[in-house]
Amino acid sequence: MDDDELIAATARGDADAFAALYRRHLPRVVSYVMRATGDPEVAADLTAEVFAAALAGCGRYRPEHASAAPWLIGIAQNKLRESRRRGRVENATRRRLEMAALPLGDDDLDRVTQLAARGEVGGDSARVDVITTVDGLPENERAVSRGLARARARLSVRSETED
Amino acid sequence: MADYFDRLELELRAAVPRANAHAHTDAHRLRPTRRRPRPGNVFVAISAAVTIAVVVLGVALIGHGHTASAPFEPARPRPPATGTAPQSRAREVRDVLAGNGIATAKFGESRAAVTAALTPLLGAPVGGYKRFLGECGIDHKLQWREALTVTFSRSRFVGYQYFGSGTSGAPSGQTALATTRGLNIGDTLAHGRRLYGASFTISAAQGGSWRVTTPRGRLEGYASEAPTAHSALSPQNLVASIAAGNVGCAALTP
Repeated sequence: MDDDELIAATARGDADAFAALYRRHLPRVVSYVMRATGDPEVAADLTAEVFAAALAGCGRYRPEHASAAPWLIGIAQNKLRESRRRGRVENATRRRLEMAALPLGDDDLDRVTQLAARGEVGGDSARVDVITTVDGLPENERAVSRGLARARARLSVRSETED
Repeated sequence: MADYFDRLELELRAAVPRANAHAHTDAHRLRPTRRRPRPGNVFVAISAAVTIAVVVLGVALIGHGHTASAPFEPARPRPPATGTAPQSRAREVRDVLAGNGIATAKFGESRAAVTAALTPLLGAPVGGYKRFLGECGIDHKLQWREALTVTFSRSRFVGYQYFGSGTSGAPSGQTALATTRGLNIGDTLAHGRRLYGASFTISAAQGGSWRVTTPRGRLEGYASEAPTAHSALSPQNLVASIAAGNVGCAALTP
């Protein structure tokens, strides 16, 4: 099933469909929030809130693209901005959905790092532009400072080339 | 033992029925309630109605006067609007964000025209005219710090996204932009509803978003949570961004 079908099925109450969507995009979302925060604990917490918000918003998802990735990164962007503004990770959607707070162990933090590394593979230019818009920094500087792969840094430099 | 993300998956699975139960509620949260006022609240209700009428009349008169006499609507210190989240300081506010452009810069115009229109408001753009790579029809952008991103397709102005200075750490006193009816970053969604009426809708999509169709085109944006909100989306949530036109892929388009 493609993402649109999974989201539509979730909106009809199919938990398996949302689990499939979650597993498909988890590395990408973890990678995004990990790069934005640099903190595995915060990244894990934000990831949970992002997927909770996605679940809450499934009924209003507009299928405009082949992948739900831009939609999920948009949610992550919004949650990240709000969390920064408030000085703590948002958990309002999880509270509303009555989801339990999950403890994090050292092994879990390692898992965050592993997933973030997986999410780096196959990154796309659209994601680079989103990040640039959020943080307002030249992407090439960010890439260097965060130790991203050399290929990604080259891509970022291209995206910021002035005419 | 299952790791954090396995446990999270189980929590999300269990939450699917609850999310569906909430979805219907969210879609109708901004519909006007028709509660009968209690006797003790009649005076308060009348006072509020009179206040709103006076404010609306005043705004209409001011807006009409400036439309005829000046290319931009007036800059003026604006106190927090009734019923909105209090803003930390009075700033110069320009009511120039429209569904078809910003101030005198309309969609379809050139980069030079856009820069000329916005520089008096916000100063020069930061970082120059930057190329986008395959962003859903967008090929270039101009940026005013983090506050405003203006998008171009084939050298023509096609959209913008405004986040204001509240999230960017911009210097205090910087000019803020608002919609032509006066909707600001940081205003409540309920205030948006008061300004635009029933066409102002909110959605839980993308963590909270709003939109309104105006005679000059559609305005939309993200919604952020109010400090006092008890749910993910309510009329007390705040306007986090204001956008119009094509600003790229769905990640940037609520």
